[in-house]
Amino acid sequence: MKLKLISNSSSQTRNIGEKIGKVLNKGDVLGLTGNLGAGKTTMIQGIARGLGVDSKQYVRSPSFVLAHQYEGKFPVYHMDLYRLNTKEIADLDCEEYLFGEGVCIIEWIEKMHKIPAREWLHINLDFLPAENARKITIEAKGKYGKLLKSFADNI
Amino acid sequence: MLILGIETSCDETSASIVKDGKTIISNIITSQDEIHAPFGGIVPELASREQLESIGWVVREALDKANIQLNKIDAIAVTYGPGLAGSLLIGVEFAKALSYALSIPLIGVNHIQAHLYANFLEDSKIKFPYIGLVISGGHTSLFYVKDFLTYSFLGQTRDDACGEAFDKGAQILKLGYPGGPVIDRISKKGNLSAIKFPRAKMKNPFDFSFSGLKTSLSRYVEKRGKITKKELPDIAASFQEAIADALVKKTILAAEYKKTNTIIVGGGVAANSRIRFKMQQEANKNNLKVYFPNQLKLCTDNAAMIAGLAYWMFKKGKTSSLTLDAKPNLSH
Repeated sequence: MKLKLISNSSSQTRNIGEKIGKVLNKGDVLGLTGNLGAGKTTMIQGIARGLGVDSKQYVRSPSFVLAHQYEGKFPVYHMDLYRLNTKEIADLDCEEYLFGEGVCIIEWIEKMHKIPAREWLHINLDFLPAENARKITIEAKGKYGKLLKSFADNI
Repeated sequence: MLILGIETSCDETSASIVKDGKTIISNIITSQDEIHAPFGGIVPELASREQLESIGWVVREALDKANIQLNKIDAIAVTYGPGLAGSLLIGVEFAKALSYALSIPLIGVNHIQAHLYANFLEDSKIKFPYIGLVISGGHTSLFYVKDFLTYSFLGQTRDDACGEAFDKGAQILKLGYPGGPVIDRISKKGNLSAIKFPRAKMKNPFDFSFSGLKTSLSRYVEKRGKITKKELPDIAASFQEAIADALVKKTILAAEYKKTNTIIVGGGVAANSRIRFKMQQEANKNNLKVYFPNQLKLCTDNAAMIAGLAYWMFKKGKTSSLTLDAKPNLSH
């Protein structure tokens, strides 16, 4: 199942993210793709808000430190593979994040040669220069179809 | 007093011996030092697995370079956060084992506070209170610091750290990695007011945001299509100026707001020449004294700053127990 949305501002992107965050559960895996400046971190700020991460915790880009962790309804693991190559990614021990007690959100997931979870929610962001807007495509893999449907019904 | 410091919060594995919080006897950093590693060469520490392999010989090297026996060390200091969980754990567990085996105190140190302390390793006469700005690939934070132990948080980045903005900016301009030094170099030939890149307005005036700037650069480059060699310095300089401007303005504002006369800058981006120049210039105008580490090795991640700050923590009785745990999210 695929869902396509348009966002005209960063606050709209955050609101869409918040609605996604609200329907997530322990153990869920999300992958984000999109170019630099497409709005991935903004989207994750919204998702974190939906997961109950309060505003005192700064949801920031983990490009350099590779991972941030926030406390919401569940732990939220925010990973970013931007500066790693395939071999380095393969060497990372991320099982703890992926199969842990929280929600795992991975920026630049397309850089993973083998995505370690079979079922995940794919969010792609594209900048549309003519409209100065973002196209958000949400694609459910496996069990996430149901989750995406409940999200689509609420939007 | 001799303190052995250990730092493994991110990519680097570093060990250092510092005397009385000020004299660096050795400061070994894996990616920067020529070390005769058992497996040869210098290894980038991206996975904690690799750090686990290096920690032993990095500590050994720090002792050998200092020509000091392990039993002459008075305390062990270690970064316990913030950083990458797996990487921090290597340092913390290694330090705990050493502290236990040698029956000497263990001191858990905050990585961000230590970045500011790096300045005291070059000049021990800096006056408190001060405004501390930590700028690196992972951090952009402002603090009001009353003494070595008391830090009040003023603000930090809401999205990208400024070092990350440099790296991603360089990527957009196809200049390679790491982006900070190359943008710094190219900008010297450019006009810093050629292009008006945006400065983010924040609810908390001491918070930063660089993600809008990155997007704006990306749009600019897309619109232009092909960037000629001739216009590149102007773009780089204008982009760098937007970062420098935000950092300097907010830091000066913080000094004014907190009525302090001293500013300290730490972290890898503190090596940027435009930020140094602009901060100095504005500080002079406002009768403020500003400090940057002079050695690049004290700007980037290193264990000397950990061992240095630990001395003052020890003096105030701030030691840790063997239950010390890595805190990836530690703030201040």
